[in-house]
Amino acid sequence: MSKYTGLVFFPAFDWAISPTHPEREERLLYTRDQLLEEGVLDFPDIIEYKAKFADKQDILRTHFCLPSFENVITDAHLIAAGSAILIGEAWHHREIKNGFALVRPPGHHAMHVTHGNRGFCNINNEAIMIEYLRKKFGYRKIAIVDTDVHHGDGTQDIFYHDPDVLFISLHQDGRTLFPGSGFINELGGPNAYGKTLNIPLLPGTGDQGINYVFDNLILPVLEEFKPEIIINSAGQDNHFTDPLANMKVTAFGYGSITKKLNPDIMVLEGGYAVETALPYVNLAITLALAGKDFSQIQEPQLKESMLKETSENMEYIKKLCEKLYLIWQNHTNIDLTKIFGKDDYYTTNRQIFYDTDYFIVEQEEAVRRCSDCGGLIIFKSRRKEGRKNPTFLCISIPIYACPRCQQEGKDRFLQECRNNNFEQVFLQNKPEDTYLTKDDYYG
Amino acid sequence: MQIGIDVGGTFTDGVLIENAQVLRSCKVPTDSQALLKSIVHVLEKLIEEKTEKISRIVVSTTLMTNLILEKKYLPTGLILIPGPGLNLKEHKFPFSWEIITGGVDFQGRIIKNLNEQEIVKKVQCLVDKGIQHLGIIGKFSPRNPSLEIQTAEIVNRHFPTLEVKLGHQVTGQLNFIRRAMGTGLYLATYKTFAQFIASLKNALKERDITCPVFILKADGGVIPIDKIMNFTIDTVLSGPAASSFGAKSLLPEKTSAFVMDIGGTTTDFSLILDGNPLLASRGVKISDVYTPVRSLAIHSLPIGGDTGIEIKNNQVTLTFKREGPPACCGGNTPTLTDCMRILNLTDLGDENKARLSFQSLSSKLDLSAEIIAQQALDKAVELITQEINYIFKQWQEEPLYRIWQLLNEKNIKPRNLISIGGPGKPLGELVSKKMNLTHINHPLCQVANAIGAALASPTYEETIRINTEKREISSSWGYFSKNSRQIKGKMSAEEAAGLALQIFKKYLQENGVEAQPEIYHQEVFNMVRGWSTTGQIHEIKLGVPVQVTGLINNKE
Repeated sequence: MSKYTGLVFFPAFDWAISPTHPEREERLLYTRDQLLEEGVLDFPDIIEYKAKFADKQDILRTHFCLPSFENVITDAHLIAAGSAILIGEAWHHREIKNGFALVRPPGHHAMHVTHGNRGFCNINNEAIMIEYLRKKFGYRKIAIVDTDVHHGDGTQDIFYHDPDVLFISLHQDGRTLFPGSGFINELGGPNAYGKTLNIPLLPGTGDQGINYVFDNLILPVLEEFKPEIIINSAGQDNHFTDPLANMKVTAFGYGSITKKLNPDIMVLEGGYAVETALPYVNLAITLALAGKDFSQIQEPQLKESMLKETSENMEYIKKLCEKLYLIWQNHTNIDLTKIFGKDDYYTTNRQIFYDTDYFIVEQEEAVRRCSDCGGLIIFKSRRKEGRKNPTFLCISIPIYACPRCQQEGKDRFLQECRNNNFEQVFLQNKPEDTYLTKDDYYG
Repeated sequence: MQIGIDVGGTFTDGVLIENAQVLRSCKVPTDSQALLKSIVHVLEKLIEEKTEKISRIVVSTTLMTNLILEKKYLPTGLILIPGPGLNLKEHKFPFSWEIITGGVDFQGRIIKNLNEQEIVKKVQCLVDKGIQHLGIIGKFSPRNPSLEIQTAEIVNRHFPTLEVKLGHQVTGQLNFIRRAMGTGLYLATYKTFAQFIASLKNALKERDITCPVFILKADGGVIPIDKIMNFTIDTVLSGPAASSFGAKSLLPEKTSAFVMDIGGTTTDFSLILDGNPLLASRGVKISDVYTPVRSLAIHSLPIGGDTGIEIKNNQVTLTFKREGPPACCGGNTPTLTDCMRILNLTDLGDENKARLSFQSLSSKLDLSAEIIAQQALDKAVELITQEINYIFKQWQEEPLYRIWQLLNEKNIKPRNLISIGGPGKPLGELVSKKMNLTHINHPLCQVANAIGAALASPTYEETIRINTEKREISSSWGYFSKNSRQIKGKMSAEEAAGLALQIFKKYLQENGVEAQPEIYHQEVFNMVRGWSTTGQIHEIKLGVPVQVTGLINNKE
């Protein structure tokens, strides 16, 4: 077992969504100052890595980029994703016992099909890393715990049908915050029911509340799921000073849940209190990962009175945890036909709002009911505004697909290329690691 | 004519240079108990006629390195003002220390005030332990030194005899722990250093040497001797810097090369890229002491000409420490130099004595002296090769924080190895052959360190930070200014650069440096609070670039 904690710090000091956007150059400036001033990088058991670019292949393994790769991806995104991969790879090679990709831009709102930027995210750094590690090294069972204040709807979407990936998101209740999802009835698709768990918390929840959730729900579930890798989507906007949300977690609280969860890999997500939260939270998380004392970190704005949960809220949290734990325990004994019907394909339609780029996407998703794998997934996706917006067809063969789903996916691709009914047809063939479009078919 | 002197651990080297020609050079053993003696000895050898016109002398001395390695410290204590953050018990200091209440954040805002009674009590604790020198170091003090200054005022009132130094006066770089170490090291050594400088000045005066005299720093820059007391700890590890700069002056312009400086006890490695010695991204670490001192990227291996040869588990290996002079030169134990002597790679000393020292090794393994020598040398070459590859990888893996930097990465792979020092030539040839590099070594490589010292000039690399919201300026050398009228709420890049240059030029003047500063890199961060811009942070990296004054063109 390595004794090192790995850190890849990529503050992207020359990248912003726009000059005054929360996702701007300044975001990690004071985090850098704090880490430098504390001498954290001088610890012999902390290794700092240099940020790296991801390959196009690494992105296509996880996403359909619409209308094209170049339209969705910039250098900054490739570096953030590449850095997450780098930490994952260092962890795999046992160079480090755990690691933190302290990088921007973030990624957990980026879905399987991505048309652009929503929730400040274009591509999903954690998902890209996971698919990379699974493809290169054969990992299978992965757990992702998303501690960003916003529901990790992108990550949920990407692994919604994957029975080997347990996705747990705790967040401020979707009725009060972007993206407006993440309710307890979102539990996974027909082939992965129960492998998605959402923990919507009331505004104002703080350290006591989230610690309770970890002790009484997340840790026991992980204990039973027995993942090969635990990944933490480490958003920092549950902090009591975050300008975009309403929670009350402290830097110390973030440190304690990091220590409890003991994740193998952490990837930074949101968190926009650039002065009052990020320097302290990032310090606490890094120290917690490295097994050092973080108990003396205290934000100047912190008041004792903020640390206690109201009894009503604790009551709510207790009931919520009980309910979810019961669901988790029984998730294999459910009659799925009652929820998903009996058709070969389970089909849903939805509209997805791209808040940053400001448009709406209409999407149909059909997943093949399969007892042997995550099931073939087929998306029809188009931007809504404008009558002439074209529809794209995206066919995804999951990484551990059964032979039948693989064959059906490949057949469907050829058929749709010939029919030529769609603007573009994509094939994401993860088992063979090949990513094709109609253009490849026509050569 | 200019003179360079490098006082090393084993030898003191000197050169006299005129018009890019080394006119004279010499090498005398270093007396570690009396460094000055060695310097005077070299001076006397270099200056034959009193009438010779010396325009400049640069001295590189191992004094500070020795003081730190031998922990020859004056009784020093530290008062630390960490505020909230890392538990200081996670770090070690070689000085007594106490924590007091108070705190400053990364923007220089005071988040917790001092408590006078507590300060008096804590300082009394340190005084009771016998300290005479007191460092006061606050977290983020370069961003606002006022808590350090207030503490010093309180200490002066209650303990007027204590010698006090403040953290921000030692360095303005961010790293609280290293700043504390630097302050402690300064206080713990400055009297010894001052004595040395005074006696050096005296010795020069006695010899009617009136030309400007400079002391070399770890980054290869020089400081006038009259200003050196502000930079004492910066002279640590100046020897390897001297070697690297000397190597540069012996190479064609814009060359990239690995530099290997082989001494008796250790070998120092550095990297020259496109003609510039590479600077380390972090401060000097010497044994277990982390300092804020900027230096070249130097790596050391405990392998040198005097490294012993031994047998462990029936394998020939090295002792990784100095075992006295080589047997061929009159020592008692077989060394790496003796290996080279036996294999006829050097004609130093007496071959028979070298062979004699191998007898017991030979009989233990039942192998000839040649085979043992070859195996020992192979081992040394293998380790050196690994180290060189490691240094190169470290440089390539240096973290970068900006997209443009990652997009414009330099892809230099040095094709040359220049070897310096006594056993340099034969070992350098073996390593070059193994690594497929061109080996460079000519007679002047023996005194490259002194050449590097002679040719060194002032160099600086500093950062100035302007916070337009708070109207404050801070800098990496500790300059701090509040409510500056020169700061506007919004400044253009040009205005910020102009202001930074103005401040930096004044600093150079104060240090007696005449040089044209340059802006290296500049960026601006908009500070957005709520949804509107409240100010800017300008970060301006500027300095005086390395300029070794002319290449040496002695004919080989």
